Amino acid sequence: MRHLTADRFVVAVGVCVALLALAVLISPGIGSTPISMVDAWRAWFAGDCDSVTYHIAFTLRMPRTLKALIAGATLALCGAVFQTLFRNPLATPYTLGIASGGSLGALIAMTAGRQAALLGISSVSWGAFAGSGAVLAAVWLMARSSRRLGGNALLLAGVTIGFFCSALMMFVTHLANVYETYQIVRWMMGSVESVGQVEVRALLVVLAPAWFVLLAQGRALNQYELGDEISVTRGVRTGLLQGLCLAVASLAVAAVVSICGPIGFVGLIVPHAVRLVLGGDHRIVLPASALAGATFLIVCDWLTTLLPAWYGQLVSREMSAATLPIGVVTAMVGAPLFLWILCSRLR
Amino acid sequence: MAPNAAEILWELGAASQLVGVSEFTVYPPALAELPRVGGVRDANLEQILVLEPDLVILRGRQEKLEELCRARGIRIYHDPTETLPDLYRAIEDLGRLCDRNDAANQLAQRLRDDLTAIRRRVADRPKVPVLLTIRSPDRLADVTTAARGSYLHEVIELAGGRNVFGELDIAYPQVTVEEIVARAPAVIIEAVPGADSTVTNGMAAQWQSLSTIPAVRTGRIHVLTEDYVLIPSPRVVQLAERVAELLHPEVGRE
Repeated sequence: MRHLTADRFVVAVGVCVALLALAVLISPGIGSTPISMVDAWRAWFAGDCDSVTYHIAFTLRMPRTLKALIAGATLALCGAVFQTLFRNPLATPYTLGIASGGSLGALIAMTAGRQAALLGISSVSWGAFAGSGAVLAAVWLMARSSRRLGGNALLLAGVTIGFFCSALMMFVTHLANVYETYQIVRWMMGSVESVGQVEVRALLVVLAPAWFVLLAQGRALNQYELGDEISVTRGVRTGLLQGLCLAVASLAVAAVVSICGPIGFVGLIVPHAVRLVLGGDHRIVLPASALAGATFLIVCDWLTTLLPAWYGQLVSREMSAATLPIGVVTAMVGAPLFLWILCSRLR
Repeated sequence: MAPNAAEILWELGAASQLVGVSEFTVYPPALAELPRVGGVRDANLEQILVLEPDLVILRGRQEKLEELCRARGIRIYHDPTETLPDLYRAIEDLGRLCDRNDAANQLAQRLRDDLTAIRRRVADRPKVPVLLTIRSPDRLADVTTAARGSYLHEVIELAGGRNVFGELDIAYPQVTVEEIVARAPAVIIEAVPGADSTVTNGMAAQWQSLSTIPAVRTGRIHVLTEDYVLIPSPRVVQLAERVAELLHPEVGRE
């Protein structure tokens, strides 16, 4: 592990912040309709709130960019935390069954027939949040009931509960009609599309405190990674650290899943990519993962509209206005990118 | 195994020959009472054998079922219905297979005539830019629409509309709200079979912040909850009537 100096920290975080800021700045100019970045920001500064340009750039494009930012940052940050907590490089934000529980909750809300919004958040999102919460409660109770349930047992319990929820979900899907089946399949692919800022605000209220709590654990996680005995001798209360990180990260992921669906890949790969480039010190891995995850998901969101247009030109079919679910793009783009980083580092 | 084919057989007076229907059959109610033998991917092979059919009508592919049919000498008909001409062809094919040739020809001709009558009635009216949505009713996002290559597109166009996504080369593309704003439909038709009024009111309300869309400004957002909306069956005439009325209320029914 390369030694982390103040200079390296500032440079790395500075570059990540700059990239993210750049992405947010040009986002209002990217989409399927020909509205450029300049048009968009001109409409913003003119305060021309009734124009089509303003609506497209700031009622539609900006909220989805911010949702991608929030979701990407949370998933990557929580992925990094989970991988360390479980001392397992394959751990993801969804390892404890949060995504399966959330999907089951969303599905039940969809098939319940009635749909009502509360605080501007739809009943499907509330259902998903309740589902994730139920899974977390189950995992938590198991962890408490058995004092000796270590990291691996917890992992196993979470994975098993996840499979159980998936089974229930298949059961409910099986009894649903075509239209509901279509809805749930679509939900599973994730989405950051949004009209207006209501969901963005709700996410920020829940997630901003969670980010601060998790980002502050960098030093403790460094010790924790060395093993329980060593970290205890160095003054880290491992039980407390585990409990705090698990609870906060899980709730954060549950919030993201209920609004954006189970967007995959970001939480698994972004932390690894960051570690390959910047080394394994958590004081840099955590903030850099969050920033890189945010930028990555914003770029993936651009590609949901750009890829079909490019593909359409390639095969000369008119597809310019079609779009892809974001869950399709994250792995399709992220996997080759990650393999490239992996190979170039190993060489 | 195809709900639309069950409706066709009913119209042909061949319903008594049906021994089982798909999970998703909703109309006519009498047929929905028949034994249900599975959905799109999960045919109940055992029950199908018990019912001893000599013809299985399939939508899409189901390898296991097809294998079983081949082994038992059961004929298979693949329902081709995507567009209106496909629907006419399916009616004629099913008429031949169920020995109802005349009824089938009459039914196909009647559909053509009825649809032509609707087309004529609104032909001299200006084309109305229309958006058709198939989406989850809980929030305005991830909208799927119908484009070239789908019967829904054809219905919109013959009912005096101009499908704002008509030129897309995917039958049921997903589109962004951004593109919807840019294409400024004058009428929005949302297809949500079976939804109740709290759902439909909620869906219309979700559009309100997008006031640059003409349909939002003039309140021309219509949520269709009839069960026939998304089934390419002979009831497509009712759908076309309904859409024509929504697009051109001034013309009226005949």
